[in-house]
Amino acid sequence: MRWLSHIVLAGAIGCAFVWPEERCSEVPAYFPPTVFDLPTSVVDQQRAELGRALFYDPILSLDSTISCASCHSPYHAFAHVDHALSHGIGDSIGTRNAPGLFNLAWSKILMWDGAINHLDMQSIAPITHPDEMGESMAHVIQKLKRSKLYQDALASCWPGEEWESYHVLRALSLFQSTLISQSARYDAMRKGQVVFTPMESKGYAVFQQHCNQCHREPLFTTGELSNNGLPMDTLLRDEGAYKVLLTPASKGMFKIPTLRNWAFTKPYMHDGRFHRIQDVLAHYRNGTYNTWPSNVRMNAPLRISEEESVELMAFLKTLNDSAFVFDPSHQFPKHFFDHAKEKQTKID
Amino acid sequence: MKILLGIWWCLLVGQATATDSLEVNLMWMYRNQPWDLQTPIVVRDYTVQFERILVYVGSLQSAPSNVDTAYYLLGTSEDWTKLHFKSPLQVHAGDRVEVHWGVDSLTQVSGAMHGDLDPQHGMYWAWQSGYIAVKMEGRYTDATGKSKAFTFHLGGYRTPGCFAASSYVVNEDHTITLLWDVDALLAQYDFRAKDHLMLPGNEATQMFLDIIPHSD
Repeated sequence: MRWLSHIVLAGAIGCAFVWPEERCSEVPAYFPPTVFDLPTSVVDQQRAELGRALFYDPILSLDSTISCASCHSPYHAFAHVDHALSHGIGDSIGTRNAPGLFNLAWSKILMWDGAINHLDMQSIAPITHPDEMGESMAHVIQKLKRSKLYQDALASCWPGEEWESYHVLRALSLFQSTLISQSARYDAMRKGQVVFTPMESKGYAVFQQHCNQCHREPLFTTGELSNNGLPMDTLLRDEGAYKVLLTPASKGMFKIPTLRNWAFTKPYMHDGRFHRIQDVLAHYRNGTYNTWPSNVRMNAPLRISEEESVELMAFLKTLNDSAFVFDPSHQFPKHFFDHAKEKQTKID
Repeated sequence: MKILLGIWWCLLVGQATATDSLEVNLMWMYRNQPWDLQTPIVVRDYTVQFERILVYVGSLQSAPSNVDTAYYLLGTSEDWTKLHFKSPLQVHAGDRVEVHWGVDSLTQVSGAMHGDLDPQHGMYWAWQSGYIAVKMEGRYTDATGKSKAFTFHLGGYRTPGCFAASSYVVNEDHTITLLWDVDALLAQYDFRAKDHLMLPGNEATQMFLDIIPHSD
């Protein structure tokens, strides 16, 4: 019977090192319904993989130097860490901070000013912006048609069809929709896998009382436009959603960003003016408001004690999802480009 | 004899009520005369040379249950020329067909599209997320000989103003001809005062409504 106890012990040790593998793309039950359909069919998943290749390929930019991943790095939750404003081809500087790309399938509006109403169409903006990728969709299509790699990929994903913008945009949107961050410590708590520490619990309570109205869980954003009283940068002169909505009330309104993965996505705010999360908290606790009269949701400072501030930080740390950030299924698709090299080598 | 007359009468009636697919033609006009895009136009004391005019037409309907929901990009530019198309809409001669200029609000928010609605045709407001209804571009030369570009991207993508409707009677050959008179733009708008409008909004919507053809 001793051999049986050894077997049981070995099995127990083995189980301790076997974590239940949870694909990042699975959606927890406490998430709301998506706005954008997730790729569930085999063919849509294939198209998402094509989108992944396009995401990392600078072929989408005019001079083939900038890819989507240049500003949306997978190791930084698909944001552009340490850059207040992103830069594009020819080292041109943009006017806004590159937000993290995840949980976009729940977004009704996209971009800081809510200009884009559908995930399919979001990619047109950076691809065609002169300070980002500086291309035209027509020229992108020409380049893809000249590439045997992408012709073959299209034939697999959309048999019998010729390259159109539709395929580029759809592939990119399907890929981006698979970027789902739902395995932070907060999520483990929601799934009943862990229990918050007392400090995290207290911070959670502070958050629910003061922050949840705009940064509503579980996505930690309502996805709406709002004015949080930030004074306008006098150089950038960015009026936010006013550019789109053209109403006085929309001046200074920006899309509420998610708080998930904040540790990977600094600096913060639409123009990256705050380099530390403590600076963000300081703005809400001590900042000046009323730059755009009557539409500022944050019309009074956040009244929390120093102790509550520390507790809040403890809770906010539970929103960072390392598993998502280091998930290899979202990273550079080496196999896609290596496969092409192999084929070329064989031909040569 | 009576039988033969009856058969003849049935054939005649049958032919008169025959349906066929609708063919739609777009014709450029200037002051009610056929006009070619290549022909410059003298307006007040400056000369206008159009280089590209593109417009979305679609959602053709002759009855509530008889609708072609597709959109067609008509017009002329360096890499696009389409001045007519065949719609699957089945019509009789004499039917009145409603035509939408511009793209309806639902299609505007429905994501990436194939064919004529493909954004590679340059009819999409990239940073505003909606389809341009009418694009008119070219150059004008003023009295001093100075040449400047004009650029009008018109329409909207939010209701109201993302499309406007006109209606046309179907001809005997199952065609309708959309007559677009550029005088509607040139008479009302002086390029010397404003030669570009590229953002969607009230102004672009109003200008779009001012210049689209009316029903026949």
